Amino acid sequence: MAQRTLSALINSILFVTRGFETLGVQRLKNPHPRRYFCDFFYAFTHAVCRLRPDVTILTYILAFGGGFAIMSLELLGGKVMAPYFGNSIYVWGSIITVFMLSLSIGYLLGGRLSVRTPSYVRFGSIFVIAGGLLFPLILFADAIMDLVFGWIEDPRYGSLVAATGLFMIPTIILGMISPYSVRLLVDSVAHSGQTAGRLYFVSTLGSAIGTLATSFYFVLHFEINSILSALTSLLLLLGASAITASRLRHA
Amino acid sequence: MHRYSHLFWGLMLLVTPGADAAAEKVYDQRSLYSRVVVNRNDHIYCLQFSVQLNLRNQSCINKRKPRKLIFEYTKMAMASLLFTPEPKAILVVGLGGGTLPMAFTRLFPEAHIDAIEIDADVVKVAEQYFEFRSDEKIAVHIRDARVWTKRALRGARRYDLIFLDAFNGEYIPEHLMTREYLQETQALLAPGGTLMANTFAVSDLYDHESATYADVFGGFINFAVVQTANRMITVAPAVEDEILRERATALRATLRPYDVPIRRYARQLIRLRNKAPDWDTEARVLTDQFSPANLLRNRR
Repeated sequence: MAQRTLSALINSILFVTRGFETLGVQRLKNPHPRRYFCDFFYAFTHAVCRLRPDVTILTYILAFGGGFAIMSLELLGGKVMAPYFGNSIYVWGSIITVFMLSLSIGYLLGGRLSVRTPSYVRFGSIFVIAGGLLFPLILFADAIMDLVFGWIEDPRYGSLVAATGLFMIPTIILGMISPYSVRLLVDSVAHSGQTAGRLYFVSTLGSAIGTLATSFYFVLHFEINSILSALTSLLLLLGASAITASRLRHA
Repeated sequence: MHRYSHLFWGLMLLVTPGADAAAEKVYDQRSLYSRVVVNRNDHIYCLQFSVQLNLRNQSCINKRKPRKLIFEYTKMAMASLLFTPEPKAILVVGLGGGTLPMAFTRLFPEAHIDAIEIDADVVKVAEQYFEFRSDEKIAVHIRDARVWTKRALRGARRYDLIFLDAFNGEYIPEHLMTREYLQETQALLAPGGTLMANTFAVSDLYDHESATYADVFGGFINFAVVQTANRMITVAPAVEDEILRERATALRATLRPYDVPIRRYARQLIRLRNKAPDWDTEARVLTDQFSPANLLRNRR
């Protein structure tokens, strides 16, 4: 009885959310009793228990979160650097240069990493590492900028060097997300462009919303370090959910 | 909301010289930071940073009487001499037309003056239209004020008078309105020195900005002139009332060509320095971590 009720509940949630099938998700039919926990989880996220194609939604959620974090971080970069290097156009020039350069390197490395034995554990690890690398920014930003400020007098090159020191490494890691997620989701050459297009759509949408939320609302209510801590937590949470999903799948 | 806000816009239009239809535009260029406009009305030249909605002038000069100060806040700045009568080093953040540095160099030819201006075009216009001249006593630094201040802290020079006037009325450089910036500026102030800041008199920002200055300086004189809705936050050393009056009387003749009602200012300052805060003292202090000044300014 309980089993039938649970099945009905799961199927009704699946029914409500079947719109997500346009994103490539297959519905789970006849959930097996041993996998109730997983199936229930699946019903909410359409994602967590089976690696392919059930984790599709989870991958999109992660790609969205990665895009959100990148642009939120970039906008906060201007705020972080203003006390030392001002708010002039060259400070934004430095920040955007460093982010673009780091993302380009990240794409290269992420693509390279995805060639051999792609897995959700590795995918999740990218998020965990990126989140971990944001911590030094919260703790040592002033010390790093103080050092650069004392060393380089011209605020243009000072801001370029400081932006490199503060943002390059975490942004390289965040850049690895996009190509890696393409590798995880592509299952045929014919649909590879479509899959990549959907992933870019979702992650760039995340970037747009991250930009808007940060500049319109977050800075009005929270301290910069609180927002950075929240971004760190978000990345750690996303990474942990990918790793957990993978573990549940192989359990 | 404090008591000047309802007067602000109407009075701004009435008291702003040179903003009428007879003005002739003699300079109009888009600079890296704003739109710089110079209007000429007979022999009065005025500097504006945007012509949208006929915004207020930043600086004006009467070419026939170049010493005469036209704006109330520039006259109010002269009241700093009541507290610090013999300045040897003066810092002006935000050049505008260069009215303040020129007035102080005429009054104190031996004083060293540093003027900080982010926009090279403004310096050019000040020299071309407002009789501003940099020389061995007046140095202009084309730099972001925060960056310049941090660098200056590593040097030895301290200032007897500091004027903060970096806000052009449209966009606020948020990193110049934080507790940390004011602490850095405070560290540049010599013992016995006076700091004045030309600041916002309207919107939610009034509370936050006042709370921030109070947090850093412990207290200040809210030097406001009702008729023009100008407000100069004044951080000054303790000087007895009687000495302020004596100094005002002594300065009266010197300041006459500048059209500064110094004895009236002395009376007002004496009255205002014991006045209770008229802002929300619980307002959140602006810091480098929390500085949404432009968003707060749009709230009323």
